[in-house]
Amino acid sequence: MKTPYFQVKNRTGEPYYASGHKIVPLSKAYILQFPGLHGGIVWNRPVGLAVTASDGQEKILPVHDKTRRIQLALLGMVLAVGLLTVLASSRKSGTS
Amino acid sequence: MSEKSPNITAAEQYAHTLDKYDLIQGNVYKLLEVAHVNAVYGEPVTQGDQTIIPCAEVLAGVGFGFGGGFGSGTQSEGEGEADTESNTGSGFGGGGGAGGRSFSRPVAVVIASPEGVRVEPVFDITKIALAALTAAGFMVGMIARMRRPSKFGEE
Repeated sequence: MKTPYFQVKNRTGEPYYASGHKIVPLSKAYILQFPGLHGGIVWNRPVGLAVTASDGQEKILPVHDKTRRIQLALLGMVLAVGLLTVLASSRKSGTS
Repeated sequence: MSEKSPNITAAEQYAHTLDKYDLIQGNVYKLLEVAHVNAVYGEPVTQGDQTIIPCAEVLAGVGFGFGGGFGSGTQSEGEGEADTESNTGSGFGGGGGAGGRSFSRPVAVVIASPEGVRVEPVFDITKIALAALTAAGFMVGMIARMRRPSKFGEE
């Protein structure tokens, strides 16, 4: 069977039992295999936790990557300022 | 004919090398097992009534290649004479290489206590500071460029 070049796999791990809670880890893996070449890249990151309390209540706790969010926000700011600069300079040159 | 053909020997060598190649391929692809959930969540650490589970993101890349070939030829001695003797030879050559790298970065910490389970993010101050400085530099540069009068504005 031919392996697809790009796969997204949602995985569930073995549950942890701590302080009366059952914690099931969830992860998402992005797998890229180069067509025609041998090898590949795997990016695996935590998605969240399925927590079951002792009273049976279940909830999903997401795991956010705050560092990456801040980096992306800064990148967004740079792109926005760059766009505004280009727009402002083109308007300036258009009026002069 | 009892003599074994040299071509078959080379082919056998080639097949043997391909077996090795499959072995290498299997071992290298084991590196891609970082896609498993256990690579992302660490072993829980219990301190008092609190249990801490570290979470990290993992990025891994591997690549490898292999090449080989074989050939055979005949060299004749004493050509044109009656006692012509021919030497048959064959050879095989091959080589390969593999490489890979993996990165891991802490993302968050899960704290389980009798009060409940919570996720505390991990901030990488160095990365954030570097990104902020780079962004500030770009923005200052762009704004300065916008405020600067154009070279051709007076024309």
